[in-house]
Amino acid sequence: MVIKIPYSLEFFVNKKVLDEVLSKFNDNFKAILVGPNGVGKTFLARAIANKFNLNFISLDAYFIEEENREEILDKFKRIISSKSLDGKRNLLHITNAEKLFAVDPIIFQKVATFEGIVFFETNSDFVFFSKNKRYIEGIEVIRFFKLTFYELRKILNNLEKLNRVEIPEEIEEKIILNAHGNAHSLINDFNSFLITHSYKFESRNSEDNLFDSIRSLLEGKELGYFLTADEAHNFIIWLNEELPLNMKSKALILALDSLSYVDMLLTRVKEGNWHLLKYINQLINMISYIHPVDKPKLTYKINYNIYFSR
Amino acid sequence: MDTLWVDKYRPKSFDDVVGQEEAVRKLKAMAETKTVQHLLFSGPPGVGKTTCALILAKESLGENWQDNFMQLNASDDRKLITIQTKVKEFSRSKPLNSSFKIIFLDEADSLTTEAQQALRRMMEDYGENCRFIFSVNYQSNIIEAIQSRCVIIRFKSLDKSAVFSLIDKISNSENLEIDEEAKEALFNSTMGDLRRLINLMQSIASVSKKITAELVYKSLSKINLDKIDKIFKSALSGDYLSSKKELDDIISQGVSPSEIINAMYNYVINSDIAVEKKIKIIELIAEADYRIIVGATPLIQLNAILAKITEW
Repeated sequence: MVIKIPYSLEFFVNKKVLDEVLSKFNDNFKAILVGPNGVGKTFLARAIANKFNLNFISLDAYFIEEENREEILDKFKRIISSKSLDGKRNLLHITNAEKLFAVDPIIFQKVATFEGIVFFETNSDFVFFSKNKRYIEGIEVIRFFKLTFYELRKILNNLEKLNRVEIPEEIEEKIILNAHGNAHSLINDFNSFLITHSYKFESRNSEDNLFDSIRSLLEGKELGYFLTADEAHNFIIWLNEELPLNMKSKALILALDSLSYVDMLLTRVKEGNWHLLKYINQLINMISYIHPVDKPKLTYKINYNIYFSR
Repeated sequence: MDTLWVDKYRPKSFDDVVGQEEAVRKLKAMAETKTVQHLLFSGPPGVGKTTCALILAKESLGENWQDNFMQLNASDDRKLITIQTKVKEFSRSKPLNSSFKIIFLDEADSLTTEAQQALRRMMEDYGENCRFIFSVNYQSNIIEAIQSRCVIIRFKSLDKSAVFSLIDKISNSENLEIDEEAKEALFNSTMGDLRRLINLMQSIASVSKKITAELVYKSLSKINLDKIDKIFKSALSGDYLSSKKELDDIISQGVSPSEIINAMYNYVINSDIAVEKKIKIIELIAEADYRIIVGATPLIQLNAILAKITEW
């Protein structure tokens, strides 16, 4: 069973955005939905289409075959002005709108004058540049943010209700924290939990387990091996902050010296020179052999609020 | 020697996969319930990503699994248009005797951002019929939109005990004689990459049924370990000229510089040099290797390592 949430406005958790959209919605509504991945931009468009009984037609600006502006506009016009056999109107939804903007910003100006409903969607912030403002007049800009802990919890509770399961609170929390404000991640991890009953959720963000690793390294334990250059890179950046708090002068200088070598090597690992990773692992691990610290003092705690701040 | 050991010892079921307990536990549950989500396998080479994808396909798709399974390798054409047509053609038809099909993209981190955007779109359009499995070395090369639509399964680099158990298994069934030191050497020289490990064991076994540490290092680098030993002993005692002479000897035998560096590294981590000195030597070796990759002259870099060691 692969889980989906029904595209209905009752499951859209961002009330502020919802109210804004519903208060302005009309038969010629045009909007640009701006925000990071997995915050409900497409969901909102689909749910609106369902609520007002419209056909949802989605295009990806990356893959519009028409070459010039007029052809593209013709296509859009055709879609939003036509009706299906049962008399339903269409809602046109265009993802990766920044691509379209790069092709020709005039398209937006023209679309704003069309009759019909269009939702653009983008991750990029081009709509906020003042020099671009004139192109998007008449199009509502609806801004989305990463979902907050509470919004994610609401989604998760909805999912539980829909699937008639209840999961323990600590696992809920794990799923929410691993989602980093992205509802897709949340749904997939929840689904995976239902299938596998495993509550070890692998991070999509390599910073998550950093502090445990730093602590055990400073205590003189062997770390095991880094899998990727990025992981090692993230790690040494934090290590660079933590080492001065925990080591005395000479040991510190040696350790920082090793880090600088590691950093240099990392620049080349990314180009496929995997064998360099073995020196990196060895050097990082050896710092721990030489200078174990009794009780590491760590200043930086992972502040989960970073991910959820508005 | 008729078959490749890599194929012979490729796990046939999840129970044969070594060292990936967490990943295997999740995949097994998916295979048992026959529900597969979009998956992203991340981990270094040679730890079982492709193998697990194949096993998952076999176990979850049933008897005619090959009809419902498509694999796209990095070696295949990676043009956007080829991927699009292949995936489209494959996913358009209904799966046979199964509720879904599986598309496996090996080494997906070499895909361009544009191709990934296309795939993201396809994951949504064909999600009813098809499940995508991506296998990557670097998770961060995959765009967030795809990562969040997948369940991440991490394959860790294999630790000593897992590697040792595989070595034991192979040496038992191939009647090889192998000691602890040799196992250690095999582990150090392959760093948890099982494909390399098995290939290495096969190439050594074709020469001798008794595997020793020396044989391992020799077959890796064709370098006489005694020479490396002499090089470091004289360098550490401050005698640069005689250590350079030994090095010249090795080079004149036609050994490539990267092999010498590898041999030096293996020698140093297994030697009883004090840890502070070890770390410095490894730094020197690492820097020399780095400089050679960037384009420096290997001979000069190798001599510089020895010169710096003599200085202490």
